Amino acid sequence: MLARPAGQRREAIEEGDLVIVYESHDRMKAVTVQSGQELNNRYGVFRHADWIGKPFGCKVTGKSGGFVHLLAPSPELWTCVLSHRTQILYIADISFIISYLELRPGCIVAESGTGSGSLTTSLARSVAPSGHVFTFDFHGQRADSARQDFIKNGLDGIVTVEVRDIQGLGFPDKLNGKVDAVFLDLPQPWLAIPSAVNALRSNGALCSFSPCIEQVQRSCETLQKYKFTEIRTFEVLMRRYEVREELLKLLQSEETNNGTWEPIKELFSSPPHKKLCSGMMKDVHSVANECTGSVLDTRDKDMSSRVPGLLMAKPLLETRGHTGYLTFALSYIG
Amino acid sequence: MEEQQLQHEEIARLGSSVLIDFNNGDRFVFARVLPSASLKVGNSMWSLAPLIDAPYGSAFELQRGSLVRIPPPLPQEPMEAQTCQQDACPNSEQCSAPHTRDNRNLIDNNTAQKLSAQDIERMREDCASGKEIVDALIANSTTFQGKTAYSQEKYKKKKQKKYAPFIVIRRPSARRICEAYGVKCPPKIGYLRMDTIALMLSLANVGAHAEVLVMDLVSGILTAAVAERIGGFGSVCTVYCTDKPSPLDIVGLLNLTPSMAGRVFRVSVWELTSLLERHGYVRENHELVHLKKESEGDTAVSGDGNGNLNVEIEAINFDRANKPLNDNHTDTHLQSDLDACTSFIQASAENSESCESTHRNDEKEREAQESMVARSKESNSVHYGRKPDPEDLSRWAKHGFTGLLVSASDYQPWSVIEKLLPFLSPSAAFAIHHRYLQPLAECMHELQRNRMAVALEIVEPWLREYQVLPSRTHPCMQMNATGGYILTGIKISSP
Repeated sequence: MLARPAGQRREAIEEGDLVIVYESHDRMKAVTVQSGQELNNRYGVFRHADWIGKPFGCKVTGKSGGFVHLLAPSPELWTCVLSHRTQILYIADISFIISYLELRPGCIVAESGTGSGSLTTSLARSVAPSGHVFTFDFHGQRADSARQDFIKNGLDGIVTVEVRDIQGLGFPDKLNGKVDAVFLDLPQPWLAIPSAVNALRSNGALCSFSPCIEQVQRSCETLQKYKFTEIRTFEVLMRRYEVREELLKLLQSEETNNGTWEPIKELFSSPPHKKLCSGMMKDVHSVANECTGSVLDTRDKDMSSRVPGLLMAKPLLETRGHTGYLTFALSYIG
Repeated sequence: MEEQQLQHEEIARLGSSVLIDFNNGDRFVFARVLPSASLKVGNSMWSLAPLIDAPYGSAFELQRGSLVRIPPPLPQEPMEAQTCQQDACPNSEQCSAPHTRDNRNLIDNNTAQKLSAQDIERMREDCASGKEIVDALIANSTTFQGKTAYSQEKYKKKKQKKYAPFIVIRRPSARRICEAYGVKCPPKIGYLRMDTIALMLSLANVGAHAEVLVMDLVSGILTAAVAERIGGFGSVCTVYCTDKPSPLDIVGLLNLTPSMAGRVFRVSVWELTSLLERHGYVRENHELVHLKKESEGDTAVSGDGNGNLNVEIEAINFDRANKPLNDNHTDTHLQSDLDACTSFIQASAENSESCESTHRNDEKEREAQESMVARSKESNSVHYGRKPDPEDLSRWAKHGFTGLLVSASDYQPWSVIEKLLPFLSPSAAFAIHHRYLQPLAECMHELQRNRMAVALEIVEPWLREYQVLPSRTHPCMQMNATGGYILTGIKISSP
């Protein structure tokens, strides 16, 4: 999961490695390589033994000729494949939290709750190799599962998981004054703020993630009461775009179109990586040749590669409209 | 040891670079903490000497001719303000509960303030503190008591800014630098927003021991962000593709330790290409096939890896490292700033008044900066952007980079990616920023067509700040509409 020092890097997949099997954008799976095992998916049956010795990033072919790519795990890919034991944080929020808290190698971070460990994995990357993440969850089983994941991902030297109710008990005294940044993802974060003050060093940073504005309101009041400075609340989202290749109709003038004003016969539409919508399909009859005015027959399937349309990008129709509010603050300088 | 180092970073030492925040985000100025440095505010100069050894986050007030450290001002709670008012004059009709007041009786005839400008000037000469002046203004305002609690607060804030300005010193992190330039001069950093850079760092898997290839035509903000995140473990190699390396002066604003700065390299793209060829790599189908000549390659590089161009770069760096804030350097730096800002203003002058005010602010900013800079004679900025060692080059050639970040909106993304993607190891992630969407769409199409990458995606980060106040919480009225677009993906090995 984490990059190794320059001399110890390796490219080839070995027995016991965690690989991300990439099928498509929204279909990925984390697999631990064990020769003797097979992976079964809609692209076929893949023998793990065939993977050993191949470089990360390679394409492997299954028994029936289908293929997948084997990628090296990263915190971003892990977020896509991890088992959801709770609601998780996604890359837009995660990246902003890490940047805003100014995390870097050597930092000490305290997090509650651990949840499914999506953020924790990214926190670990940002503070490794010399920093540490202390993460707390009040749910014993959840903490255990997270711990196992961290071991599997080689993060156990960077991350310590503890079962503890931070809202009820606060952060442990052993952290007092040592923590550079605190992250709270709790239903009542204001209950944890007094102990966050103790854990944080002077001018240390706090971030609280809350889906509801009422939680934000209350957290901000408590932060003010505990003399936090620079209290700021943000909402971060990410818009995804799809790229399509399409040809748009031309509205022809009278002279070039035999007496009538009408849009020239459509058209041609070929998104390179998306299925054509049925509505568009109807229109894939012919394409107008602007220069001569003649009409080419494009019933031929190969036509799509010969006549390039216009590449255009548009946002995906459906998107996440809200994740949560991120409230940041700095502890007071005494 | 690292802990100590981090602790050390939390204090503005002699020669440290600091970000000065005026009145909570009104204005940002970068400065170097030196006894000789000074800051221009209004018409007066203030010595920065009191900043030496102050922890980051410390606040200072401009008082009696010098900067005086004060406890960091806390936002006043409106609830408290209300009760205070009620306690002060419980029976007066005019002082009815502030929340029931409104501005129906407010008449703008410029007679509300009984103190004259001369009175205030006299108070200033008598060395009254800012707070005393603000209190006097309130006491002599005939309308203050009739205002709602909210507008009382607003009034106080406004007067505080004018008569009791304060500064807070901040550690210049990449995040803060980005936000400050977003206010000062966004073209200088290619209109990158702090959330855009944050997302790019995550997408390209930047962390300790990462070996990151960067094309940075954004004054070094991208390089700086990577250097900060790898913290001396791993390397950041910035490529340039012109005769002269592109400026990375923002890297100099970070307080990098010498060992961290030593991991920031600069090399021309041709040199990198020829190096790979020498190392026995052959370019084929957008992919490099290793011909297993590693041992040969190693010796070859140490022999002839240093061309004339490198010597020249070395000289530039040397100059920069020794006196990064000397007059010459600053002039060019400011000039490019000015040019960028001017073109920005020209580009959008037709329909925007805000541009003018931006311009004016920049003008003031520049003046302040110039005067400040002119007075700082020395610095302890460290040497960054050196030429890679032969070991580094051969390691990159052998193993490839673990990530690629590009922000170069003057270039077609596909032409950049076509050139730079071969330097990445398979399964390495990349993130390309561009101000426009279309070139990224074309680049994505090419990558797909040539089957060079998977997990391809074009994304646009979106960031909105909120005002959170009791019963008055809402999104901020103004926001930055775009930080640009990012094309990201993961390189795959060729079939």
